[in-house]
Amino acid sequence: MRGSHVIGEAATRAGCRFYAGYPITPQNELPEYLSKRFAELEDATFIQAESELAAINMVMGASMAGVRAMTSSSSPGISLKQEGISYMAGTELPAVVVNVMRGGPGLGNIAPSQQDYFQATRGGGHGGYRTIVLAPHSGQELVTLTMKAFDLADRYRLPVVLLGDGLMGQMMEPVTFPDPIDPATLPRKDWVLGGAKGRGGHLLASLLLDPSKMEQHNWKLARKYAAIRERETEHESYLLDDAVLAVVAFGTAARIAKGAVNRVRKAGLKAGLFRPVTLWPFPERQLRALTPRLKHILVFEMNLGQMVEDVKLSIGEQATVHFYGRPGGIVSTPHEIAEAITKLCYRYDLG
Amino acid sequence: MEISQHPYAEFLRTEMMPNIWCSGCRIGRIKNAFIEAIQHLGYDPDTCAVVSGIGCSSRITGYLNLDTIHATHGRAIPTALGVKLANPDLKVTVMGGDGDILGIGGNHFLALGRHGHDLNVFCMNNYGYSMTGFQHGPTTPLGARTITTMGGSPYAPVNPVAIALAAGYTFVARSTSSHPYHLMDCMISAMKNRGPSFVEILVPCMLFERRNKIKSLEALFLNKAKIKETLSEEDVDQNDFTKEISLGIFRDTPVREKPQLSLVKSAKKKAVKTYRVNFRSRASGIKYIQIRMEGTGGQGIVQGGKTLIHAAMNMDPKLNSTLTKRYGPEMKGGSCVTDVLLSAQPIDYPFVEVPDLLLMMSDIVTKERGGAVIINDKGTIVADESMVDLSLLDGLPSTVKVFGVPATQIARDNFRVVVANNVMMGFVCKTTSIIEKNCIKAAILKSAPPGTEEMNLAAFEKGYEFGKP
Repeated sequence: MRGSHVIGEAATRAGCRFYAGYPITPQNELPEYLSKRFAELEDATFIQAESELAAINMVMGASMAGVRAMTSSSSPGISLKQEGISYMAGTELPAVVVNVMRGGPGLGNIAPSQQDYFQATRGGGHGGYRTIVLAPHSGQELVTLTMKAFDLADRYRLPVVLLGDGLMGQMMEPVTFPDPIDPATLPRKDWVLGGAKGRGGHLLASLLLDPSKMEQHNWKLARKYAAIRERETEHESYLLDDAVLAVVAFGTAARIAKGAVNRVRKAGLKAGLFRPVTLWPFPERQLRALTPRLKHILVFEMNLGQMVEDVKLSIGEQATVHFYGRPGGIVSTPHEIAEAITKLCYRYDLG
Repeated sequence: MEISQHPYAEFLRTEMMPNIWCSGCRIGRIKNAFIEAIQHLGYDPDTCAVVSGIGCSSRITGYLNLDTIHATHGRAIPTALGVKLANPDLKVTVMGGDGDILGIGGNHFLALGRHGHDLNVFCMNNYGYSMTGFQHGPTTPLGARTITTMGGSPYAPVNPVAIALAAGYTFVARSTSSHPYHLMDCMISAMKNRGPSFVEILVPCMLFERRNKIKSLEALFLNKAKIKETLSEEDVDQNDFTKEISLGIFRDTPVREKPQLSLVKSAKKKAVKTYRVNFRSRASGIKYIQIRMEGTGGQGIVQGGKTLIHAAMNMDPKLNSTLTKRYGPEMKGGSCVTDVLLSAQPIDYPFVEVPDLLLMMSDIVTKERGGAVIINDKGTIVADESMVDLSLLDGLPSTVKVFGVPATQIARDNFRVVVANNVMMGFVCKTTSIIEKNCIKAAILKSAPPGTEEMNLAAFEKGYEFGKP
């Protein structure tokens, strides 16, 4: 199945019953799929909104009414949605936001790129909030991470971003799906709008004019974020046990890097791959644990170097961090990365 | 009087009182009219939700003891629509000001009329952005002074009722906060209407009065407004408090029936004939094959790739496979490339680097590349003779196998041009024997539009006849 369709089917099976979106390439196949898929379900709503702003706010409303809701867009559209995402973070509302990244800044192009790492992992909008960010690297992972995104969003009551790119969205790959979840069996949410009888109304708002109340609320959010950092990091280690050099990459870039690692291994160079699956929270401890044994780390991204900052924050002075990136939407070949690895190995005499 | 003795205490969050509205503001009266309307209709507060954006009037949600949302500035309508669609049992009302609903949220206001969902939009028009100190807004009268139009507003105001009528709202009314019983009646009728309902509520603002040296806007409303039983088109435009204001219900129609007919001709349903091709799955022994199909958009290049990947999966479900494609922004006529990889190992890089099998439906891609043909030294090229300039293939190493088949010509002569890709599939199937015949036929059936199965399979067979084993 095509990546975009995989996300749609996985969301449906995760119990998502509300989707609002606005057209933008290269994510159009996802709403296309859901418009058909949701029509087969009696309890699901698909709506094409009048703008990205409307779409995110419709998702906010649906989330307030208690259903699992999702929206998707591509870089410039995600920028438009940031206000709503910030409101959802402030009001503590669950939702899944799919970003099929394109090259930027501005309108950019529609080629695969990873230019939105900063935007996604730093919250993206105003007010110092965080969203959980998941970066799939294969068709099968689109299934597991999409379904996981809905669970995480509900568990922690925050928006979860699924960060892919044009390649993940367009590529066809065979996948297997788990059995669908019946939305009726999901845990009840006791904070939603569902009628105020006998309990006093619920007011869902992110406006707290009293500074001490605002501070209280922000400390509450901070404790939640700390708990997420503690529990929810996920990463993949590939051939790192005996490695002398680790490549750090996520999403599509990680897939290419894996190919490069395989190639240099054949040539006798001991390289491995560290792939963060959660970009926020970043698997800092797990990466730091590789040092000081590993002296050299090569970060490969399809941008000008964004995750490289998180890598440096994680390992401090324990190892030297190198960077290789292609920012324009050109997809590097494994050969290109293998060459970069080989150069480093010769330069620093890494056996 | 203690706040707990307020006649509507049951509907209010008394702990939030006193409210933040200026003395002399009439928004509180509108809030009371809304509570009375709910009581009059006998609605269970349990089934009512109110959504507001940002602004003076949007503060109503903070004081109503219902399930309420204080949403983003201008986005109250989409948020409310989200609630309504996710929980259709709720009666959802949007309350907001002119800046929120008609200014920043104008597009959503228009779209709701088109969407036709059962929401009530109560728009309090106080002629500007009051909460921030009174800047001019979409309804500020021509010449009115605000803190951003100190010399008098040079902009003509919009007429909210006229917009709502044009946008397709099924209920449209105008009232003021100075006519509370009329306002309540309008709200009741609006809530009874099953489509999108809009009530414009004129409300005086102290800041507007002061800036423009109006003694009492309320007095003007009472003086100039006329409640009318029936309203004409002229009444739509009579909304100027210096001249005449027409109040009443402009439209109250049942919600539109969903139209049955679209402009697309409906396909006649014939007796469905089912086609079936049985195939046998087995371990294929394929280690790593890179297949590229290239040509001109509209030739079925992507479809051909899909047929190949589905066929490969039919034959050996354990194979790893990927399909990627690249084409220009145009749907037809541009260059188009589809890459299919089949591999026993997980696939890292999902594009073809050097094809083992190159299927050329036209030469547009090669010509764009300056005539260079990229192919594995031991690879195979199958070119559509009727579309490809074969001289491009001269000078390739002798180890490369080159076949030609006039696929497009065959398709045009026997069937239709669109099945040329399946003629190609048939030829490739017999010539290369990478994938078994029945596996490809099953894959073709899977994606062939209903009614064209026979033609697509026949095209495949025709290509197969031409094949050179």
